[in-house]
Amino acid sequence: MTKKIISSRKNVLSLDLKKLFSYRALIYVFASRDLKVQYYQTFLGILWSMIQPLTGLLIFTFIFSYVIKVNPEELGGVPYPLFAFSGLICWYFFSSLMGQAGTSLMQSQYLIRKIYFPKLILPISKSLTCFAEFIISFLLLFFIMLIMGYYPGINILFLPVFILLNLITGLSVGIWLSALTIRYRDFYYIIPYLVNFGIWLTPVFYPATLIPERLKFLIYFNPMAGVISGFRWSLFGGAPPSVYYLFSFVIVIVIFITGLYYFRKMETKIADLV
Amino acid sequence: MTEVVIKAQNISKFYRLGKPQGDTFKEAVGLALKSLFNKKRQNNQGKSLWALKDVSFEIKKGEALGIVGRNGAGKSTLLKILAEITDPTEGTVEINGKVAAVLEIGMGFHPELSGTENVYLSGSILGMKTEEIRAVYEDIVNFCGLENFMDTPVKNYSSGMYMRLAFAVIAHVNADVFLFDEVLSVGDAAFRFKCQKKINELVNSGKTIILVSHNLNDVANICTRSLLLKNGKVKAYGQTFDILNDYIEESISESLTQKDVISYSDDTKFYDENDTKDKVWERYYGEDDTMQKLPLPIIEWSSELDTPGNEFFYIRKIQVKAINKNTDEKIVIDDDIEVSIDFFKRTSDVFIDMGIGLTDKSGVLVFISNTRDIVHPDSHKEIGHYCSKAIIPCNMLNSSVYTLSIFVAKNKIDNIMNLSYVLSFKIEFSDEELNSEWRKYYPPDPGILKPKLKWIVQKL
Repeated sequence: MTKKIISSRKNVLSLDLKKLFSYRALIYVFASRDLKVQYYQTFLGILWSMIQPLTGLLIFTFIFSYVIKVNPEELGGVPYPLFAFSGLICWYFFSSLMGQAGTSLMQSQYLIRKIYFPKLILPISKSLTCFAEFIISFLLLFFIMLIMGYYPGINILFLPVFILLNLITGLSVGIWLSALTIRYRDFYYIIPYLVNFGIWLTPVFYPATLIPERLKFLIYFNPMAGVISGFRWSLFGGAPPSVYYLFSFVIVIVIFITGLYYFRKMETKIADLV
Repeated sequence: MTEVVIKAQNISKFYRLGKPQGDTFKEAVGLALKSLFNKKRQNNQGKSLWALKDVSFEIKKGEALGIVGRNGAGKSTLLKILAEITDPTEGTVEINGKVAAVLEIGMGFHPELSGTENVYLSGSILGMKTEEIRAVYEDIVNFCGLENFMDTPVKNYSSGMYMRLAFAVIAHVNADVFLFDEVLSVGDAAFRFKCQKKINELVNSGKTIILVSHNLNDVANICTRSLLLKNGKVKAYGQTFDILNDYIEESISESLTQKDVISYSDDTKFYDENDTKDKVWERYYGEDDTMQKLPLPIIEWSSELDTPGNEFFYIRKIQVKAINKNTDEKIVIDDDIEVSIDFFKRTSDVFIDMGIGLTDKSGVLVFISNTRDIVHPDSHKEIGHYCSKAIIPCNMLNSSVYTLSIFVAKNKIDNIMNLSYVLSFKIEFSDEELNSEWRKYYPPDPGILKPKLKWIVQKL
């Protein structure tokens, strides 16, 4: 028999992950619902998830290979489409996860007001949907790589680490945003700006070597820069990512943990505020 | 001693009214700046409200508690606290068991998904594991009777189908405590009866239920005990029938003391004299006139295992028939009607009192009656078979389909079990009346009652 006590006093240090674990089935249920609904009555189904990065790829291949000519040396010996596409799918994974997790609480207001479940399930289930979409794009990338004759080396063993970091980065920003949106709707409108400007502040379409030397330190504050350069390194080899990126990963972990606590703090007020 | 399932101690909930301060980013920054310069935090200028204040109660296993009160009395807030949707400002609630909160029917349903997918979705939201849902899936489909529609997206369902499916899921949730908020007030009469019956089954199978409803009939039929809330405080707590009387009395006296006198405005005109077509009362017709087939009004339980009952008694047979007729003959208005309840008394320390309630087809509780006024001889304490019989006199109830509920009390005062809507029977017009001259020109008399009144006509 489960026994519980409801009161206003909560243990501030506990994240109540045990309860989250007991509701794990719901994470999967929400994720599969989102996937089903999103591509419901479409002919291409989940293949749509790779059309967005693909169109971006076509446009930027044209710009960066023909209009602004990037020196292939600076790309680490990889053809531009592979370079850009690998960056793009990481960025889309991050930005769609951040956007969807960030708005997940607002979207599910009707549920939050009517029933109890650990609210953290909402952003977490989004990471599952976004991951599924990422995998589809990744398979496409892998396919293109093999066709073009690029075979990954031993570095590919590190790939899961960078994919996981990619997920955590998107999720932690998403968790922060979702909790902030509950209190301050302003953050709801900030999300598109983060997505649109962020892509230019991250070496997605251009190599990090294009950044002027004196501004270069800024890039180590951007976790996605580290994730993308690590992702490329695991697939294509070449020079390993700079150790300074470790700093950005520390930032991610800090954002992640503080996000969990802030979310936990807001969680109890959500039903009264939405 | 049965165990306590929910124990609420002094729970209070505080709300700030009006525009909350510091709820947009701009205001939060503004407030922070202000407090920086003023050094003193400003007091809350918004109005405040205790939506609940010092509410305490206890519910035992297998008990059904009704929560009644007027709009804004705090009923839904209380339910939300019990469902963990919102936290109490003060006080604690202790719950032993798994809670299924049903604050809305069809919760979590997604219109684009099929019936089957929605069963799994809303089942998981209600806290069931996938295997648990799979185990009861067949029962759910049978309960709602939508075998052929389970692959159809629910957006194509009629509203009746939608609710049937939604309630079917709720009824099969594997929980110990069920919280219902006004869920019974949806759907047609047949669906409401089915829901209420199911809820009653849940209670009698040892589940604990809290029901918030404005429909006093529902509360009376399902809940043995009730809590009356007024302005966030507990006004009364005890046996349902006492509470409902308090509540109705209070509502009536309050409406009488209200200053504004009822005035007849234009829109209460019955006929549209000037043919303006607007602001005229519309008259609705009742439910469809289709023939209803009812099963015989007898229920007999063959085995001791599945009969309704508890440690004090179990019911063997319930029957309604016209006196001097067989059970399969129709009951007409001119017949005295006999309602009999056979039961077995299991202990020799208490008296068992049976009560009945009749609900008509529109869901109105017509009356309740019980053996409270009988002086039991000591022999009625003995273990053994008993039969309590009530006679409803002829020429009292009008022709309608009535549904019988049984209320069981021990030692006259303690309501120990309700069996809602156990069976239905129909009272019909007699053949003489149907064939009379009168009926050629006039429709049957409306109304719940059809008494033969004594009329006196005098020429003055």
